[in-house]
Amino acid sequence: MKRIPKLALTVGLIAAVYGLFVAVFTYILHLPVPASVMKMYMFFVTVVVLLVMTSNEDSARELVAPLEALVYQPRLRRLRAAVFIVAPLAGFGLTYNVTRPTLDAPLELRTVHPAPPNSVKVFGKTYNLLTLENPYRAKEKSDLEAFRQAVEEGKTVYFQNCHYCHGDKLDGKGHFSGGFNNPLPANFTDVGTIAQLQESFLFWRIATGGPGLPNEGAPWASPMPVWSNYLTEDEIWKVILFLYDYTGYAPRVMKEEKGHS
Amino acid sequence: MMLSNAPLAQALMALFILAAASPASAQQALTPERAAKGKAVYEKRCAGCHGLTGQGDGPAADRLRPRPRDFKTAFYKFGDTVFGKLPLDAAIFRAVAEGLPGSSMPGWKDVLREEEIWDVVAYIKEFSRKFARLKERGEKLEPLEIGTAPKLTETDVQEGKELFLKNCEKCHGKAGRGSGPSAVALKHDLGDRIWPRNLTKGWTYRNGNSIENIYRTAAGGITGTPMPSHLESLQPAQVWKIAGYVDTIVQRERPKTSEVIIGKPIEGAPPAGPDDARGAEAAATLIPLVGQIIEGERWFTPTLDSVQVRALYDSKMIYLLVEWDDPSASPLAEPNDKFPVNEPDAFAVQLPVTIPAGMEKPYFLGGGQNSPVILWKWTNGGAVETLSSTGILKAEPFAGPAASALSANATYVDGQWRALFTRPLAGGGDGDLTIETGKYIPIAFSAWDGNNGEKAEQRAISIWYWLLLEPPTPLTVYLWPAIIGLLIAGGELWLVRKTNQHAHKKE
Amino acid sequence: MNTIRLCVGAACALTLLYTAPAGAATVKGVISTPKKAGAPEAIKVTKDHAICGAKPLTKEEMLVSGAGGLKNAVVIIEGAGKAAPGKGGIAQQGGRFEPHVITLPAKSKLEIKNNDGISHNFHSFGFENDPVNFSQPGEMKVKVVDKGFDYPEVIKIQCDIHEWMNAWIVVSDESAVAVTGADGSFSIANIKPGNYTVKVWHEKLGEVTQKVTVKDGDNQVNVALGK
Repeated sequence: MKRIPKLALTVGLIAAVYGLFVAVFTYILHLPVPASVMKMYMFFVTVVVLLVMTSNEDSARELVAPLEALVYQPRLRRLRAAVFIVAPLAGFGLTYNVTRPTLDAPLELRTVHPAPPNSVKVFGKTYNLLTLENPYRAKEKSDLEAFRQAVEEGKTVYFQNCHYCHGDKLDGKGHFSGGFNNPLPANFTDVGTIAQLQESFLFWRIATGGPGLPNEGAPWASPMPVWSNYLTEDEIWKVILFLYDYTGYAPRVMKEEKGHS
Repeated sequence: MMLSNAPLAQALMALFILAAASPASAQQALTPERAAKGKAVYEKRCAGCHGLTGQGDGPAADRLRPRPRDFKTAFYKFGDTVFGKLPLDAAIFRAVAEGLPGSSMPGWKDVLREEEIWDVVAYIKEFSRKFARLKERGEKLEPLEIGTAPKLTETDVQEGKELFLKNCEKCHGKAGRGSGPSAVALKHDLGDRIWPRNLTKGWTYRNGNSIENIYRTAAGGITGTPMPSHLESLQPAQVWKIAGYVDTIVQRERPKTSEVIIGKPIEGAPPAGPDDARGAEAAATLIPLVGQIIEGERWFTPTLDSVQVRALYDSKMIYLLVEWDDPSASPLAEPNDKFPVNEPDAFAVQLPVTIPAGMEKPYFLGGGQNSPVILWKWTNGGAVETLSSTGILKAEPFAGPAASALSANATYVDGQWRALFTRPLAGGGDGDLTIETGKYIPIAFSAWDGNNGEKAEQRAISIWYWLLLEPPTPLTVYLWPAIIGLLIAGGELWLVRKTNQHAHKKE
Repeated sequence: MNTIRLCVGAACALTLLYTAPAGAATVKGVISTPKKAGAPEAIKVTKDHAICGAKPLTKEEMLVSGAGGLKNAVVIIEGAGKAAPGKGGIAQQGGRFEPHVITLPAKSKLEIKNNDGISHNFHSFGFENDPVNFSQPGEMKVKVVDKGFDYPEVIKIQCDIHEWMNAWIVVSDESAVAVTGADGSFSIANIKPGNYTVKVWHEKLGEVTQKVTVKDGDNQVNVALGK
C-alpha cells in the first residue's frame, strides 16, 4: 500500500480533529462553542500535530518536500503563480476582517436575578424580605377552599395586567413581548425563574417593578411596571399564588425544615 | 438577538405544522364525553380571555383588540366556510393549535396534546346552540371551495390590481395598508371598533399568508366583520387574480430588528424632504412598538406596531427619516359620526441629554427624576418641538437655555407617514444633546395614532435602541492588512530568490 | 325548542288559512312618543359625495311628527295569524337604504337593489339568523338572498363602506304586522276578534307590549314609547 504523503496527513489530521470538535459540540451536545475558544483549541492541536510530524529529520524533510517542490519545481509554475497571488490577498483579507470596525450593539451585562435588599419600602410600609411570607400560602393546608378562591382571584389579576407580556401560557411570550424584548419578559414555566425564588423575592420584584431594581439589574431598561401603583398588596400575593399554581412549581422556602414535616 | 436560530426554528415549526395538520384534517367525533373533558382544559387555558361562559369576556377581554372570540354568537372569523356560516371543526382546531398571528391568541400545540385540543374544540362548540340546531335541521356545512392556485400571468396580476382598486380599496387603501376612506368607521358585529388588515404586513395575517389563504379570505369574507364575501359579485378566477395581486404587495416575514440604527455619512446635497431618494442610502431598521402599559393611564390597544428608521449625517447636521404605517392621517379632514374621536397623529424621538459614558442610561420610559431625556416631537398640524422629560408623565418645554434648531417635515401617502427630522449635530447647550460620530447613543421612539384616541401617555412606545453615526473608516483599518499582505508577498519573493540561488549552485 | 316552534308554526299556518276569512276587525292607531326630537340631524357624508350628497341626508333613527307621532315603529299583533314566506325588498339608493325599516315574514327571500352605480356592501347583523355580508358593486343592480331570514329576529343592516348607511329588517312569523308612517299611524285589517298582545318595536326606543281586546269593526290602539 502506498503511504499517504506527510503533508496531506498533517492537514488531514488537523481537519479531522476540527470536524470532530464541531460534530461533538454542535450536533451531539448542542453546546455552541465560542469562536475564540475554538481558535485556542485548534492552535494547540496544530502545534501538537506539527511537533509529532517533525519529530525526526527525515520526517520533517518529508513534510516540507512538497512545499519546496512548489517553490522551485518548473512543472508547478502555474500553481506556484496562483498560490503566490492568493496568499498575500488572503493575508490582507483575514487581517481586514480583524481590524474592520464592527457596528454591533455594545455588550450589556445585566444580572437577571439580582440579590434582593433586606427590606423594601412600599405601600407606606417597610417589609423585611428575609421573613416575609405569602399570607395565603398557609391556607393551602388549613383552608383549601379559601386557597383556591385566592388563586382564582390571582388569575383575574394576571389576565388583566400581566399576560400582555408574560403570556397566556406564562411563557414570557405575550403579544407585547415582541416590543419589550430586551430584557425579555420572564418565562415562569422555565425552571430557572420562579421555581428558584422565594415568594418574598417575587413580592419585591412585582411591587417595585423595573425602577426598583438595583443598578446591576439595569433598572433603566426594564418595562416591568411599579405594580404598587396599580395593585394592592393583597392582589400581589394572590397573583403570586396563581403563578405557582398554574406552572405547578413550589416556591423556594427559607428554611427547609419549616412547615414541611 | 433571539433570531439566530431562525432557519432551524422554522424547520422545526414546519415539522410541527405537518404533525398537527394531518390529524386536524381527519375529522374526529366530537362526543359529549369529549366536551366534558375539554371543560377542564378550557377553564385552565382559555377562560382568562374567553371567559368561563365562553362569551369572550374573560378578565383580559376589555384590554384586547381584537377582542377574544365570543363562542356563544359563534361568529368564528376563520371557519373555512363562507361569511356567516358556522366553522368547520378542523378550522377551530387549527386556530387553537396554531394560534392567530398578529393577535394575542397563541398556538397551543406546544402545551396541549392533540387529543386535548379536540376536547377543547368539542367543548367550545357547546357554548352556541347553533351547532346543535344545524344537526337538528339535518344540514351540513359546506367548506369554502379553494382548489389549487392557478398559474397567474403578469396580465392576470395587473387585472387583479384593477379589481383590487375597485373592490378592496375603500377599506384596504390604494397601497393595501388598510388606509382606505372607509377604514376609520368600521365596527365588528358585536360593536367593537375594527380595522382592515394592512396587507403589506403578512406576518399579521391571522389566517395565514399563503396565496390560498388570501383567496379564501377574499372569497368568503370574515364572519362578524365588515369584510364581505366576494363570490356573489366576482368569479373565482377574478378573486384568484386579486389574491395574485395581494401576493405581490405582501411581505410575509417580519423584517429582523437590529439593535443599532447605523447613521450613514453623506456628502453633497442633504435629503430635501422625507420623500427624497437620498433617504434610501441609509440602511433601514424596523423597530417594534407596543402599548404603553407601564405608567399613568395605560394603553393596551395601540394601532401602530412598528417604525422604520434611517439615519444620515454630514459635517453639521443629522437627518433622521422615520416611516410608520398608520391607517389614517388624523385629525381627519372628514371626521365621521361613528368614531368622533379625532386627536392629531404625533411622533417623538427620545434621546439622552448627554451620551452615557458607562452602561447606565436614563429610564427608557421618558427618562427619570435624575436622568432626564430630550424628546423631538412632531405633531400633525402642530409644532415641532424639543421637550425635556423626567418621566413619561413629565414632559415639558425644553428646560435648558436654548435647544438646537430642530425641524421636521412629514408627508402622509396611502397609509404611511414619512417624517424627516433635521437638527445640527451640536446641541444648543446645557440640557441638550450633542451628537457625536462613532458613539453609541441610546434612542427610543413613541407614536400616537390620534384617530385611535391616543394622546399624552396613551401611545405606542419602544424600548431603548442604539443610534451610531458610522464614522468615516480610518486609514489604519487598511494599514495593517496592507502590511501583512506585503510581508507575505516579500516572503514569497525571498523564497523564490533563495531557491533560485540554490538551484544555480547545484548546477 | 326550535323544532317545537317550527311544528307549532306550521300547524298555526294551516289553521289560519282556514280561519283567516272570518277576521272582520281592523286595528288602527298611532304610535307616539313624548320625546322631543326636533329636526333630524344632518349626516356627515365622508365619501362618494356626488351620489351620497346629491340629496342632503339626515339621520333616520328618531323621526317624530309635530304631534308626537313616531315614524318607523313596527307593530305586531301576536297570535293573529302566521305569515306565509314571500319576498321582501330593500334598495341602496342615494347613500341610504330605502326603506329604512321593513318587515319580512320568516323564511322569505329578500331582494336587494343597488340603484347607485357605486360599490356598496350588504351586511346583516343577525344572531339567530346567520349573518350575511357580501359586496354589491355598481353593476350588481339586483341580488336576491334566499337564506338568512329564517327565524324571527330584529336584524340591523349596514353598509360598511358608507358608515352612516343602516336599516332594520324585522323578521317575524306573524302575519299582522305594520310599519308606522310619518305621522306614527298604522292600520292592520282582517283580524279575528279576540284578545291579543300587541308588540311595538322601535330602533331607539326599544320594545313595549300591550294587551288588547279586538272587536268587530275598527279598533283604536295607541301606544306611547320612551316615556
